Amino acid sequence: MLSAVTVLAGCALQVPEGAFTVSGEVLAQRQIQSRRFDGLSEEEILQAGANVLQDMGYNLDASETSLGLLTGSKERDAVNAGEVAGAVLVALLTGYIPPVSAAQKIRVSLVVRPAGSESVIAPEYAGAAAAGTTGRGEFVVRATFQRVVTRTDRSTYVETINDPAIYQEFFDKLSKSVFIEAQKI
Amino acid sequence: MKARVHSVARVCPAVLLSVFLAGCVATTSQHVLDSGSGSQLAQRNFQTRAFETTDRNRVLRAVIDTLQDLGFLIDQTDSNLGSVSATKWDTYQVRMTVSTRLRGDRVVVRANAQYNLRPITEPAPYQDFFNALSKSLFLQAQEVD
Repeated sequence: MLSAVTVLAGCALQVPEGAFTVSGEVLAQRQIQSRRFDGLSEEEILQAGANVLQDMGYNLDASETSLGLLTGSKERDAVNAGEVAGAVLVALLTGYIPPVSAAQKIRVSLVVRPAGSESVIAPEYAGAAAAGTTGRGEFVVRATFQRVVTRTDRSTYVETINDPAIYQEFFDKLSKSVFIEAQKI
Repeated sequence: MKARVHSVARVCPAVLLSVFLAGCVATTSQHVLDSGSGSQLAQRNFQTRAFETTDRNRVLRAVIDTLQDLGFLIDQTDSNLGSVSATKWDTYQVRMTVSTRLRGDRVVVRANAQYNLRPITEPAPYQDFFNALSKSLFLQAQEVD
């Protein structure tokens, strides 16, 4: 009966308010996810981005140069020693073995757009606009990482990765790759 | 006879429950076309807005920008079709497709989205989306008749 209630509740669930509105939290997330690059063309940044994604083991799922988009994904182990230790403790104390993370699919999208392209939501990017995908200028790169984790009981959960350190490291790698691209090494 | 009554009594709640649930999810294959809801015209109306520009590429980039601001990951785009698909993974899942096309001197933007396992059929989330897009474009979102 409880499961029936859950099913019915899941059916009637409304879209949470704020799912489609730009909040302060969203703005903070954008700053974590965005970096500005100067002196290259959109295409060169995309090439550098594709290289970095491949360096990190991603397979490209989709790309469109004319809109500045790259999407990639990879599947990896998600076993976490701390989580397993916790589960073992619970199992020893209660006899119930809680499910733990087993595998994960990580997805990333990388979007390049000319800095200063019409966006009030992003006034800090109001620099010089660059022309076309091959013209050099200032561009803003925005990356988003998400993952779906499958537990040992086959249940799953999804999340957007918000850890600033991960984005920082990603953009460090991209900066190096962009530099190499710029130097044509 | 008694055995039969017994089995009926046992089956009945199950039947009731399944009918109850059927009211909620209908038959699963009915969702292939999802043509049951009578208000498709109204739905198309609040899923569609027009913007006074002929630059479809600019609108597409603004759509991508807006979706990213709303926490979506861009799955794929097609600049020929003028479409963008994106996914939001939070404590819930939202999948959205936005298509754009040039009609006269305006670009018409159509959006549809699903929340977890159901289509979003209420106007408010679409209004929120078009408000955000409108700000990103510096253009008013106009209703399309």
